[in-house]
Amino acid sequence: MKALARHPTLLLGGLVTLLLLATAFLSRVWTPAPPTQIQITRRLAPPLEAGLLGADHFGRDIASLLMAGAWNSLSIAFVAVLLGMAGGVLLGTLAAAWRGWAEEIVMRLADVTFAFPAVLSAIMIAALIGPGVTTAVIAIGVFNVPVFARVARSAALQIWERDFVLAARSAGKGALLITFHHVLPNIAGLLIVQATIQLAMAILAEAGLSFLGVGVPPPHPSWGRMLSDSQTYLSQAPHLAILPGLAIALAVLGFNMLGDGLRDVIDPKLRRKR
Amino acid sequence: MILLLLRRFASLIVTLLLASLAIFVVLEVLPGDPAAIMLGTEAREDTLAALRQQMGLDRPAYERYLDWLGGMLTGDLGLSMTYRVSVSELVADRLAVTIPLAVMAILISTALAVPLGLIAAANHEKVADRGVMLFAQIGVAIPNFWFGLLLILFFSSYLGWFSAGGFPGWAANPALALKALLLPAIALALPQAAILARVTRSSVLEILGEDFVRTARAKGLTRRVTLHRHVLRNALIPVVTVMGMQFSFLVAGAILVENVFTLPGLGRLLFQAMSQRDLVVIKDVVLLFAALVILVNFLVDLAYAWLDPRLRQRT
Amino acid sequence: MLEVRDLSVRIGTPLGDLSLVERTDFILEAGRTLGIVGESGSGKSMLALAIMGLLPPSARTTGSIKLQGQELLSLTERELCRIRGNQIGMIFQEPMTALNPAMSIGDQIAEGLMWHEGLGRRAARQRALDLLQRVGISDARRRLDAFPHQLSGGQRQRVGIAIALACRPRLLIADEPTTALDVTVQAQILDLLAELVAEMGMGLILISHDLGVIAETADDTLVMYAGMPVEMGSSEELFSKPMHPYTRGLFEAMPGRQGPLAGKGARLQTIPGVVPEPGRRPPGCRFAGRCPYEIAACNAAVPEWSRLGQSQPARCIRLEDLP
Repeated sequence: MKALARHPTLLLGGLVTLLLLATAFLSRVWTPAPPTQIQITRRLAPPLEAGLLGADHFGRDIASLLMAGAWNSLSIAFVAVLLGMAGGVLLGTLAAAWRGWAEEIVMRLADVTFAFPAVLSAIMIAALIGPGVTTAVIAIGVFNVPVFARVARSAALQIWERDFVLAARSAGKGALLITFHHVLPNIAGLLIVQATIQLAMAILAEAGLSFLGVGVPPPHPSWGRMLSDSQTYLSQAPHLAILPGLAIALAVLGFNMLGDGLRDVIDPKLRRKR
Repeated sequence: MILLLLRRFASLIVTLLLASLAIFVVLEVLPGDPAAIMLGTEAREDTLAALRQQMGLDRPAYERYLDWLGGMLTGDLGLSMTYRVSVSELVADRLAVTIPLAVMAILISTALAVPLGLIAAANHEKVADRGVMLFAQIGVAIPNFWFGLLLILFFSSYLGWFSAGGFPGWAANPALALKALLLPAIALALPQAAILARVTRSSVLEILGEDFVRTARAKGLTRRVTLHRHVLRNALIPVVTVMGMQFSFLVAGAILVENVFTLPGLGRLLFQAMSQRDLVVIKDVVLLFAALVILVNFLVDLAYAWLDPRLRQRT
Repeated sequence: MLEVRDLSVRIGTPLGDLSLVERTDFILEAGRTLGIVGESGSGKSMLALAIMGLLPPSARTTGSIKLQGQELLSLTERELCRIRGNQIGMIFQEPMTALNPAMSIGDQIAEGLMWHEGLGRRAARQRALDLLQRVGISDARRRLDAFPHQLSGGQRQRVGIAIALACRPRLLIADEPTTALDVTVQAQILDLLAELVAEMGMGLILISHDLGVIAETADDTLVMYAGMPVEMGSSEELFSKPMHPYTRGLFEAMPGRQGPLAGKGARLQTIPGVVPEPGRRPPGCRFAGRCPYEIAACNAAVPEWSRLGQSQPARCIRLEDLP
């Protein structure tokens, strides 16, 4: 607890994230109204006139839509980042372990993949297999691979310079074994920090994809599509545009602050500057 | 210096080739029959055959790939299935919107971020610093397409100063065209500015601790002059790096923001091509976007050499 | 020419105020060299930065620093900027990092001249060329456009000297100017400094932890310990008969100190213990705890200056009892 009090960013970010996760899980068992229930009579009702946050162009309850949207947004973000992290860390640590041409290839591939932001690859994939959760997960996951590969490689390279790795090498341990026993445990903290920040990026990307219509398909609720739908009613019902955006911003802010806070704790050297 | 340029250039070519290969494999090899995807399941066999013929799908993949690359180099990008015009023409018009949009966004974000970062670093841990950090923290969290919506809500719906979207074209009235790009550029620039302000701040703070800054102060230079003459240039190196890394996000953002403001840019073209499953256009435009990102990162590499004389000699 | 009276530097930290330099007095005449010697943590670099007015904003300097009769501590920042680099030049320890990597050395030397003397680019460049030649850089015309990374450590330190001397300052402060250099280069740089001081008639404060360097160059020597001067006198006297137990300890730490240069490069390691950090210093004599001659009275109060006969003054209450 003392550590938390000394890091307000960590505390605040952790609280927001926790609240978000709780909301997402709660939406699986309870929402104020069924999120897909259409009630034309309360169409475009402003906040407090129908439900806490009003209703959308189909008369659906916005608070319920936002809650269910949190589940979709977070689950896609989590799965995509996890996949990207698994692939990227594998490539990055191996590049650091083997050096030479293996490293060269991995880094070139990372350069290439980096040129395909999630939206770009999502459009390619959506053109082939149509929009959907899979499209979003693959697109966001693929973009995370080079990010983690670069972070894991540069961190692993530093570990490889350390004395205890030298000792392990002279004891005849192989590159793979050293990677598992010495490198991974020592870069795990850094990777968790990066993953938290990537989660924030993934939530942003997911919102962008569903805004374009290549993410979660209707009628599943999604923050990005709520924003895209709101464009038609921008002047009549501005709350349709404002509320989902606030939800996205809050979620991203929460994960970013959590990531910054974790970094402060794990790597205090960087603290002054950030 | 020349050797460095050659090496960088070779790596640029390799990266471009790999990117084009990846796009080609995903869009033409993996799906098996691209023609069937483009026309959908209800297509008649003879229309399918005609399209296959037109796309040259009867030839081996490597031949088609080389053809495509050759076409890229000569400016012949093939024929769009849906638009029935050459993709080169289509793209040229759209680039005239997207490139100015991206340049404006970069200019706005840099003009905002570098001074903010400097002010924050010069007032480390004071009110101004905390203010800038708060702006940065919130700025990165705001999706640019949402910010675009909010700008429309405020500046066109409420104040009526701007139109809600669309693009009048450069030929008719360049000033009006520029004005149509202003809100989208601001929407794109905000998250960029937030990130860059943060990087500028931490980079300036780091340089301020360097010995040569003390040397400059010992010469009698004021804090301000030292900041401008000695700190800024050295501090810009990481800023430029991050600008390069952020460019792919700028491209992604352009696709979204062009859709918010219904700008006839490359991003909107890509979006429409996706809806119509026009793989020919998608293939070309995706490569164009990826090439843009790769090219900008190449330019960033060159900018290092200008900013840091130590790199000019390294080979 | 330079008169420092009862100077003290305190720095505000989250743990409270810490005293970095205290009770420091000395006088430096034009054309002479004052050596300040002490281990790291003795406050000698802080003293130099205090004279320059370049301490961090959290530091407070009290007492008096008079340069040619002008009180530096009462000047505004703007007025100080007119003195720094113009009347006081400073040379730093690390020639590797003390120069801006992104600016040609010619520009770095010319900068001060343009700033203080309002010279145009061309004139400043010509002066920079003269300076480079004067500090012994061969092929100076070509070097003018070189960047720091293209020079060796010794050459960079020569450039550092050229920057400090550009406006012909009255006072030059050299903070460990040779510590980062090879032994052979050290001697060249020290000779150059001595030459320039004689030629330009300025006062030089030479800060070093290396007694050999001080012995070779300084007319007078001030020994600092834990933020306070403990012994002061002409180098000749002080080196032939050190009084304070700390100074003696330093001398004994020098391997084979027969010849004047014998101790060059020697590190001061053989006094048991380390310099106490600010905030953990003994209340009386700061050397208590490490001193072999310590008695209870040493901890009662900070010792005043005392002399044994005609000797140089030292802050020790037991001068008469020392062997």
